[in-house]
Amino acid sequence: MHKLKLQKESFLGGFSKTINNVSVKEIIDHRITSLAIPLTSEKKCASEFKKIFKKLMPEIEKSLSISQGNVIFRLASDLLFLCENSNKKLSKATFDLLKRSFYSTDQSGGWCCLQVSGNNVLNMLERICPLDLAEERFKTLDVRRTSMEHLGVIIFKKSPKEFLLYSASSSSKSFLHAVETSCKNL
Amino acid sequence: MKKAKATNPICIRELRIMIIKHPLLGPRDSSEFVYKGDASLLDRPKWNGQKSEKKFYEYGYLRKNPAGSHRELWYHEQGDRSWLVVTRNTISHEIEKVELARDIARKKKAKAK
Repeated sequence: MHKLKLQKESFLGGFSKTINNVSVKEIIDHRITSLAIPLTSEKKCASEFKKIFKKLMPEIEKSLSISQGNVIFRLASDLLFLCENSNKKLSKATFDLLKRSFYSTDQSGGWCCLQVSGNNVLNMLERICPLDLAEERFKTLDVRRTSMEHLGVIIFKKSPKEFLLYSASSSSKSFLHAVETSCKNL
Repeated sequence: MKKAKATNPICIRELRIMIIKHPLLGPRDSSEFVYKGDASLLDRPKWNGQKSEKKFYEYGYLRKNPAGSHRELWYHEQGDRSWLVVTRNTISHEIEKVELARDIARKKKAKAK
């Protein structure tokens, strides 16, 4: 029997380019887990969350930085996304505690992450994003689920000029094309 | 020679953008939503009730389709996946009220008890 070694491959081959002062870079090292709150267990999940992370569960469309590079997005009243840096993942014990109260599914293979940053990033995003991206409406560390060029995207504002865009991995090339085109049209 | 006036081959129609004020998330573009029909679909008749056959026919096929205020279901597919009951004026597109379908269903359930 052949000894096969599986190798991790990124969806966009580690794409990295700067176009018209907008840096577009694929983020490879991440693990995404969806945490769904079971119906009628909202209070139990909120108290478990507080016990585990010593912080309140974030409000809808807000995020919470739980450790270096690891963030939790609250996407809906009953849904959270745990985004971890592959090198600094949560301990198995913490993860098992979360699994006790939330329904969890690994979605790392389902999402492709693009980091867009630079002085022109807002001008680029306003061409494809239907959200109001003004600082007073969309603050730093806010997160939204929306559609860009008909594709479903999660947008996270890391800093005033840096965003993470999560799109479905199956259509990641189409989404990259939309982002590149928007950069070129500036 | 008199030049013919060039006609614009592209007909630019007025673009209508509809903003739905989501009760939890605030104003969002209607492109994030999917229209799912008349909100009367929330009132599913009992399968074993009186005249259930007639009621199911009406539930499945008959709509009032008013010109004016209309309660309709909208699904936030490209957002938080919530179901909304939007009261919209079908003539002016003005949105009069937006509620979570979940809240309406829960109120009805509590009332029935």
